Amino acid sequence: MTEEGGHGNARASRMGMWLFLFTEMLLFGGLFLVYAVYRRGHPEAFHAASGELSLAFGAGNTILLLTSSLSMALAVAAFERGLISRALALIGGTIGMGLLFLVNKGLEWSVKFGHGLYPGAAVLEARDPGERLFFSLYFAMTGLHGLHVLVGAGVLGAVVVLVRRSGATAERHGPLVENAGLYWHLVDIVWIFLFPLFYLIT
Amino acid sequence: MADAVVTPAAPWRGYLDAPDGRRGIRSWIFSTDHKRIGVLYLWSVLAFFAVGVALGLLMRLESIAPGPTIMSARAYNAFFTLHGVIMIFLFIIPAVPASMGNFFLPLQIGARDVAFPRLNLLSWWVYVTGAVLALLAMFAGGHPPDTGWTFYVPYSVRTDTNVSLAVLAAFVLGFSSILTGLNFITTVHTMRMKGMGWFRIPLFTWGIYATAWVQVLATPIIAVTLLLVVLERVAHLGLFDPVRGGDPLLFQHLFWIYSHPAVYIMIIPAMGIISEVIPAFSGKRIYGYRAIVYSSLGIAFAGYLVWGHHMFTSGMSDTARWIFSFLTFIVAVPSGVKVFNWVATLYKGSIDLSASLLYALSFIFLFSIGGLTGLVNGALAVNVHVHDTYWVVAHFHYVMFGGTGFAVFAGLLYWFPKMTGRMVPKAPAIVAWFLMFAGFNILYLPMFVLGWMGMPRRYYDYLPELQPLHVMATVGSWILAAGLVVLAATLLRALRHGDPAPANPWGARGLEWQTPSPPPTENFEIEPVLGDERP
Amino acid sequence: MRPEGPSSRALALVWATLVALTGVTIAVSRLRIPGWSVPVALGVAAAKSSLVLAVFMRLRDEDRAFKVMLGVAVFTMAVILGLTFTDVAFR
Ligand code: HEM
Repeated sequence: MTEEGGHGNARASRMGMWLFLFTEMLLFGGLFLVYAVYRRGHPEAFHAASGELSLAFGAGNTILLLTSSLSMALAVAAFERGLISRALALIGGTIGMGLLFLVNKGLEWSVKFGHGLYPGAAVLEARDPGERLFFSLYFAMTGLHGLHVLVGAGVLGAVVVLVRRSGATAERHGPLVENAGLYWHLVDIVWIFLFPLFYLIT
Repeated sequence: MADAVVTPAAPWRGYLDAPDGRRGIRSWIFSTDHKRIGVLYLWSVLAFFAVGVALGLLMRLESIAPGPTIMSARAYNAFFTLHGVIMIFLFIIPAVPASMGNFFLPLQIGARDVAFPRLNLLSWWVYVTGAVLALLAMFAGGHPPDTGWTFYVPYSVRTDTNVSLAVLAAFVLGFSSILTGLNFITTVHTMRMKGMGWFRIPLFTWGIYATAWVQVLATPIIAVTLLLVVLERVAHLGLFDPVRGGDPLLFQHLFWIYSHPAVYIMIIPAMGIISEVIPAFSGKRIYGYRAIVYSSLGIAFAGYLVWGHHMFTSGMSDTARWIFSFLTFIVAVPSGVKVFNWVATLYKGSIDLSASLLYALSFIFLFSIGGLTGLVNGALAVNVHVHDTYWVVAHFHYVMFGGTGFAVFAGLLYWFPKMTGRMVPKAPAIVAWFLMFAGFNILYLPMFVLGWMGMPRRYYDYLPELQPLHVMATVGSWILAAGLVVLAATLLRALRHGDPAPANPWGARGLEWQTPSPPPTENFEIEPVLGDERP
Repeated sequence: MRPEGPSSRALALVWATLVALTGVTIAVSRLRIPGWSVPVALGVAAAKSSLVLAVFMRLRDEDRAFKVMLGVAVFTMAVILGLTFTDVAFR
């Protein structure tokens, strides 16, 4: 009677996921808008503050996330070919790299906190307003992104458990694995923009 | 024009009997049937409408005389905030898409359900969570929020009232709205019955589809904005604090980047209802189907271009002011197209003056007043004069209540037989309509004059010479309330005692009329026939 | 049906390109060419994310509806940015 849809339809499920990803894009988009406005107003201060971030950390984390995305994409491809245990191992790798990313981020944040470079701290309050805005944005945006990494890792973990428990087949769990992957890639894309905007502006 | 489907001896209850034979509330609040979820939403939304109306009536009572009448200034601030938050986030945004949209979108495209039934149920639960948070903000310890529904900084960051909780409620409700939106988009793309091309989709579904896009693409902006307000309050980011280099105007931008498109989340589905009701009771096809489709999409898009007209007096750049003013005039064009098409549909039709049609006709009238006064607001020079006065209060009640509110009642009366399997008696529904229409205009017309005379909005006090018009408005609010009570009583009575409804009591065209009233759980027993489904 | 996904080699190649582009953008930022660092950084970021979208996320294998939808989302974001700057840039 009706076209096949709902649960069984992989295309529908991907479409729903993509639409959800657009909402994530716009969520970060709002923050990028705030960033753009304040950077325009305080180019020098943003430059100065950007110099205080550790490029090594930022670049290292970029490579980590890019690699985790590769391993996710490989996992989806393996899953599609029915290589379930290989796929799960690759997803495990993705989760590991995601967590490592968060550890780095945590170290980086704690260094900044140690230097009194956080919103409301006396050291930062004494600086130029532009630098304050820069660090507020830095914490808000990398914080929200970090939260997404955490959620993404959690989702991937849940996928692994689910697939293990219910004896996966490429048809039944394919859309699930693929959607989790799409989410992970989006988190990667957000970082692809965050990295230059915070670490590389001169 | 009753259809040939005979009413069976044992009353047919369709989806109202759960397929697994379960009864009671649990068979509803855990159901993934889009019809049941639509009904759940309908009840929730109408309940909050009632709360909002009660708050509105109390505010009007306060304004019957200058000076404190029944409440303090602080209480009044809390009242208009709660009234606004409830009416916007809990009533009008989900009012049409999540309730009637949920019920009728799958039926109109010949589908068994939406694309993601469980997500659909989740969105209702998220809505309930948001509603509970909003109620907590009101009644939990501390002071209820008093910022107005717009949560403008810097006040919303500084006030000691429960703003964080209210903001969180709005955030959660936004999430529910997003889930509904992406579900509907996917449903329309992937579940239309074979042969239903894009230009055979009924206009109500088109409206819901266009709206869903706005829900998906605009809501995230408010989400992140509200998040920033909370962070501002707890972590002192200073992003919106002028003292610390932030720009409060940026908050207003972000807020209206969502909230203006949200105005179209409120009105486009309502227009969809009108586009179904008018042809059904004119005995004609809709005039200019494609023009209406394109105008829905046009409004959805143009809605993104005009948010700045809420900020003409805020200190925005002159360039932005004239650009936004210009764009605001453009957005009126697609609305004008629709009004033209509705009127052209009525022209020389064989009109059946049902209660539903009366509400739809009042929609056209009241929405036109709201829309045209919107153009007055949109004119830069005039706006400076009427900004933040009762003129604006009158304008948005004409659009939201006179527009969407009346469309909700038109749709409710139109689809009541399908949803419940019962007919609504005509006479009391028309009495209710008359009271509401008269009361509405007595309530809000004087507000235009008040605003023009300089009565600011969000004031609990005023100069004595303004009292006659205020008294008139308050009396109007009582008449309007009486109409609402009559309508509620009529519908509730019809729910139990109404005559059994045939499949197609109005001789209307959508596929939803090809299945019995109420529809069976799987929507259609025999495959619906494509061909005449467009209104 | 969708065509089969990219091979492991193709995926690895994309990854190598992404890493290389990261190197490029860092190098360019070290050169400190006034006025160019932001456009280059954003251009490279756009290129990188297009690669991720097209290959890792397999957008290029999807039908047209998906691509149009992405276009709508990106366009919306651009409109929002642009119109906000009619205020911010002229205040
Ligand atoms: C019987 C029905 C209603 C009455 C008596 C009523 C009355 C009022 C009054 C007195 C105000 C405050 C004016 C001021 O002091 O600035 C107000 C504000 C408002 N009303 Fe209503 N109203 C009603 C229905 C509605 C409906 C159906 C909606 C929307 C769907 C709505 C949305 C709003 C909004 C958004 C505000 C602005 C709140 C704010 O300033 O933050 N109202 N209304």
